[in-house]
Order: sequence, then C-alpha cells, then structure tokens
Amino acid sequence: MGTDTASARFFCNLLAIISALLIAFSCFGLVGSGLMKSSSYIASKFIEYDEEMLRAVNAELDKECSNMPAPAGAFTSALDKEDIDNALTRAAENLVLCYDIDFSDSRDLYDSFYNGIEEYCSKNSVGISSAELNQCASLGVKVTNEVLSTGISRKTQIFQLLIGNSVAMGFVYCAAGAVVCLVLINLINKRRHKKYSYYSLAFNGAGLIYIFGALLVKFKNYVDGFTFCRSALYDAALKDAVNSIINAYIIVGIAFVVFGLIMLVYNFKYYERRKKEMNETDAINNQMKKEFLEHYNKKHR
Amino acid sequence: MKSLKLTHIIRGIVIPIIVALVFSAALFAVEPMFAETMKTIYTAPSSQKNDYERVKYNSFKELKTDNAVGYLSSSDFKFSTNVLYSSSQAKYSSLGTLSTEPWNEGCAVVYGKYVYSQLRFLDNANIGDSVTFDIYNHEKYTYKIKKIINNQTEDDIKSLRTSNTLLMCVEYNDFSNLGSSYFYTVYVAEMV
Repeated sequence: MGTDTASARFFCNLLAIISALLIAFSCFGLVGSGLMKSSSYIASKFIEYDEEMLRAVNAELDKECSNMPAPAGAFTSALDKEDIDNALTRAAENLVLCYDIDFSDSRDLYDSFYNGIEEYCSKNSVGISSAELNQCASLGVKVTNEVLSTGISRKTQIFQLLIGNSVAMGFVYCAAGAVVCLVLINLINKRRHKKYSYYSLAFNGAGLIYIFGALLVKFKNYVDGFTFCRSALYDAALKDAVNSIINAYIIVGIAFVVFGLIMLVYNFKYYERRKKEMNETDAINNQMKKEFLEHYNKKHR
Repeated sequence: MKSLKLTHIIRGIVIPIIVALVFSAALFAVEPMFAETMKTIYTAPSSQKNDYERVKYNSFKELKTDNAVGYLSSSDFKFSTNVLYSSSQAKYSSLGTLSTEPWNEGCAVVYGKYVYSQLRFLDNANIGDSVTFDIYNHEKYTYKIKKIINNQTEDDIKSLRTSNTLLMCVEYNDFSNLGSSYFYTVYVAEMV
C-alpha cells in the first residue's frame, strides 16, 4: 500500500486512534493495578489513619471493658501506634487479596494486651492473676477486632478491574495490541519519518483521555460515593488511595501528551527542514537554469 | 493543499482532543450505572439452596442438628440471622441444646460467631433495643435487651437462664486454649 494515498492516511489515523485507546486502557490497568496490588502502598494509606484508628479502638475499649479484673486504663494503654501499624499492614495485605479483615485470632494483639495490662497492673499495684490477665487480653482482642475487622466489598468494580488477574491479562493484551498498531503504522509508512505524526496522535490521544477522564471523575466527586467496606476509616484510606491513583493518571496523561507533542514537533521540524532544503535546491536549480539560459542566449544571439 | 503546520496541528492536537472528548462523553453516558455500582456495599453471598431442614415441632427437643428454628431480627440496629438447632453451618447462628421454648415461658439461647451472617451486628445493639425471634411453625416473640455482659463462659450462660428471656451469645477466643475454648459476650433480652 502506498504511503501517500488517502486510504493509507485514513488507515494510519484509524490505527493511531485505536492505539490511543489501547494505550489508555493498558496504562490505566498497569498503573492502577500496580498500586492497588501493592500491599505496601495500601498499608501506607492505612497507616496515615493509625492515630484515628487507635483513638477509635481505645474509645471502644473504654466503653466495653468496664467490670473486668483490670481497670479500663490498663486496656487503653496496652496498645501503641506500632501495634496498630502492624495490624493495619496486615489489613492491607488481606485487602489486596480481597480477603475479609479479621483479627479475632491475632496472637500479636493478644500478646500486646497481655503484656500491656500486666505492666499497667504491676505499675499501679493492681492484683491480677494470670487467668484474669488471659480473660482481659482475650476481651481486648475481641473489642479491637470489632473496630479493625471488616468485610470487603467484592462487588466494587474498581477492585475487580484492578486486582483480578484475568482482567490484568486484558490490560497486557491491550498493551500488546497498542504495540502491534504502532508497528503497523511504521510498516505502512515504510519506516519513514512520517510515522511520528501518527505516534503523536496515539500518545496525545491516550494522554488527553487520562486528563479528561480524571478531571471528570474529580469534578463529579465519584470517589466520595465509593464504598469499599463497612469500616469508615478503611474506606477513607482507600478513597485516599483511589484519589492518589487518579492524580497518578493525570501525571501519566501529562507525560504522554508531552511525549506526543515532542514527537509532533520533531516530525514537524524534520519536514520543515526538508521543505526548506527542497526550496533551497529549487532556488539553486532555478538560478543555474537562469544562468544557463542567459549564457545560451548570449552565445547564440 | 493543506500547509505542513495545519496538517500537524490537525493530526497531533485536534484529532486527539476529539478522541478524548468522545471517550470522556461515553464515560459520562455510562456514569449513572457506574456510580450506582460503586455504592454497592458487601452483602453476604446468598445461597441458592438452603442447607437446613424445616420440620414442624412443638418442643426444641424434637429437633436435630441443622433443623431450622427461626429467624432473629431487629429493626433498631439492622440485624438479622437465621437460627438452626445446634447448627454445624458456618453461615447460621445456632440455638443451644439447653434452650427451652418461649411458648412455655422458656429461655432461648442463641450462639453465634462475630461474622456478618451470624451475630456480628449485635455490636451495634444498645440496651433497650428490641429483637424479634420469629420461630418457624410458631409465633413471633419480641424481646428488649436489658444487659450486655462480656467475659462469660458456658457455665456462666447456664446460670443466666431465666424464664421468658433470650440470650444471644457472641463467642470470642479464649487465647489460653485457642480454638477449643471460648468466652462470650451475652446480650440478655427479656420478653416484652
């Protein structure tokens, strides 16, 4: 197929538009899936709420742990931020696997309560037996679990999109499809410089899809309507994570647009230089032709 | 013939903007459905087939393991759970074998784990809230929560039984004997 025919140009434009959509889909999946599948990323978002989570746990302990052998103060002083951070890290690990978050069997929490209550009682001269300590620590785990545990919404589409392996493979196929489109554009243009203007269309299109899409999501406040689980604090942390991912999409979109514009300008400069060189050659040829004609006319006059 | 600059502007800027706008408009068109799904909250998966048996009975003693007893619910704190007799099913609460019939002024003792399909929602319950026990093949009985007691053992629960009461016992681990021994938070409710 010739590269300068209308049908070739139409076909290249179509391939570039298709590759723009495929690039947008694949990077949407790869960026989002990469961040959402990373338990350390989700954990970092959860840990930002550790103080609020600790306050919520202590408020519940204060409410529920009266009439126990140890005073309520022993319960509320048993856990520190490190315990909550460890629990939140475990919660994030469960969440990225779409498991419910449950601490009812947590030996770590039990040990923290046991040691913390024992320390409090010995400091404050409160007599307590090991059986009573066990009762108090077991209740501490139960109450903490009431605050920290939650069921996860498996119906939430963003998780299905970003965490499911079968869908992740779809993103890989999109990336492969985008590469095939770009290779086809290269072949149709016989590897000539012109291909860069189509590449520019693909990357600018993908970048603008990100930017427009992300701004649409931001202005319509979609994320506020998301419900990932029954825990308000986990939900808030996950909304932060989704907002960060949306910001990441805007950055990726801007990067694509910049990349596309660089290719566009590069291609434009190339053809401008070519045009200038052709004009100069034409001018030289015309000058030579003129001189030749003048010389010829002089000789044959 | 279009100028070089115009060709580049159309291909590199105008077409991408049109593509992005069309795509965003398509997103906008499907938005109501998308947003509604995002609000969906997790609910326990419903079973297609009931793995319990409904038998007519006049006394709890006539029931066998996994026979349907009834349904506990409360509109005060949005709670509901199926109750089976001495349930072996993870998704149902269990009526203890020491229970006696409400129509004989008895005490029903319901055990459950801290999971959504069993007694988890009880942690939203407060003293004074109502709970209805809709008993299969019999009437509905309404109770009011009078006490919430932590740190109870099986023996403590036996001594809590009085006539016309419902004891809802949420189990939690006794870590000194993990997996084989439990403590209970007991919600003591009296018949209205």
